[in-house]
Amino acid sequence: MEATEVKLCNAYCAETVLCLALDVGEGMLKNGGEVSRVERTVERICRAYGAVHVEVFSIISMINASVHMPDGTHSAQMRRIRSTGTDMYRLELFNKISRDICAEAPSPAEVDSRIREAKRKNAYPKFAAIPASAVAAAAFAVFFGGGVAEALAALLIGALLGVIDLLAADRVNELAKTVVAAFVAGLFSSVAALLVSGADSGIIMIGTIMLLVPGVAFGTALRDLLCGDLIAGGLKTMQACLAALMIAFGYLLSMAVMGGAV
Amino acid sequence: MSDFFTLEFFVQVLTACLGTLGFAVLFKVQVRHLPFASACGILTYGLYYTVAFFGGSLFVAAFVASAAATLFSECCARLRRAPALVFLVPGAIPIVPGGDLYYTMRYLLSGDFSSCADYLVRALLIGIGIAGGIVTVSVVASLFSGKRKAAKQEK
Repeated sequence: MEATEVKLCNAYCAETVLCLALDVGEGMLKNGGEVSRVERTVERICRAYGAVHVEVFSIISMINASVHMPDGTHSAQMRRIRSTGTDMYRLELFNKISRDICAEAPSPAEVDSRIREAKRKNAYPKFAAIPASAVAAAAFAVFFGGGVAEALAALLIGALLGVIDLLAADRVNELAKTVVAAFVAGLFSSVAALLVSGADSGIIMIGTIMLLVPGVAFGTALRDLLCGDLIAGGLKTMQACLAALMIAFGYLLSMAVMGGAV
Repeated sequence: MSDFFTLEFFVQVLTACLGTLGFAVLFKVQVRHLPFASACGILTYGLYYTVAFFGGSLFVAAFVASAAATLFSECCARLRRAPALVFLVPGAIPIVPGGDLYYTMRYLLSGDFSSCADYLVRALLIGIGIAGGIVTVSVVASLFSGKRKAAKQEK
């Protein structure tokens, strides 16, 4: 193990090693990895390639890192992350890449091709988001006490939200998308309740709103805060609170349009 | 005790499982992890219901449920070599206070501010409970895995 490490120290320059480590870190952050995981990963990868000194600082929208190699060269680079989502499959792939680097330190060219591959891979076809959100909305409508009518309405509205999500992907501001989705959910819940006598618009709305509520995001944000990642945790908390506000805004707008037909 | 296993409870467990599954696909959890993610959702809601049924407050129920979900996810993560988030993020969904948030908005709209505040506090309590559960277990788990890694390096 030590022999390979000595060989690696001479083989790779600081720029390449740090760039590679940041590629993996960026992949994790973009797909929903925790800030602490990203910082740990970047540091481990640099060390696996023989770095003697690594400093990493990351928040949800940026990674900043510097690395010193044993031959005296050093490098400092920064990555700006503009959009984040939740893609557990890709997160897993990047995690695997990081683990393999730490275990066997493959050549940077090989790692680079694996990173490119991971960026393109999808666990499901794109349109799978439509049935998935439809089923989730319908299930939660029943979960919160709805009957068949509410479940069917939530199924349709959930599918609609899935379509909105696909259309808006990477094009629209995340908060604006939340407003539109909450507005559509509120509007169609009321319409459904008017069309089907006896259907409770509230239940339909709760089922579909579950797709938007940043509940788990709020949980992980507080976790970051309490674990000492104050800036990242603070930003995430703010993001979650803003998302909740935007849901309320979209819903109130839809109620204003429907004349308060709750 | 006979009130514990109501039809409503079974329906809720079933729909919690289905909802978790839907969310797992939305979050792009791989097919081979899906059963574990849904099991996490069932565990979370089952415990939340149980604690609330036996008189626990909302905060305690959310805390216990999310702590159990985190523990389960950390175990799955080690067994199946995937990040714990893969199981935790969909698994915690059934106790997300979507209903409370809805009633907060609804009462805000109808001008009933005391009910609005009630539901807002409920939503916040559950949110803090979820976070507390996740923090407690993941801090302990990180201590545990840190030790194991250190032992490996010494070899």
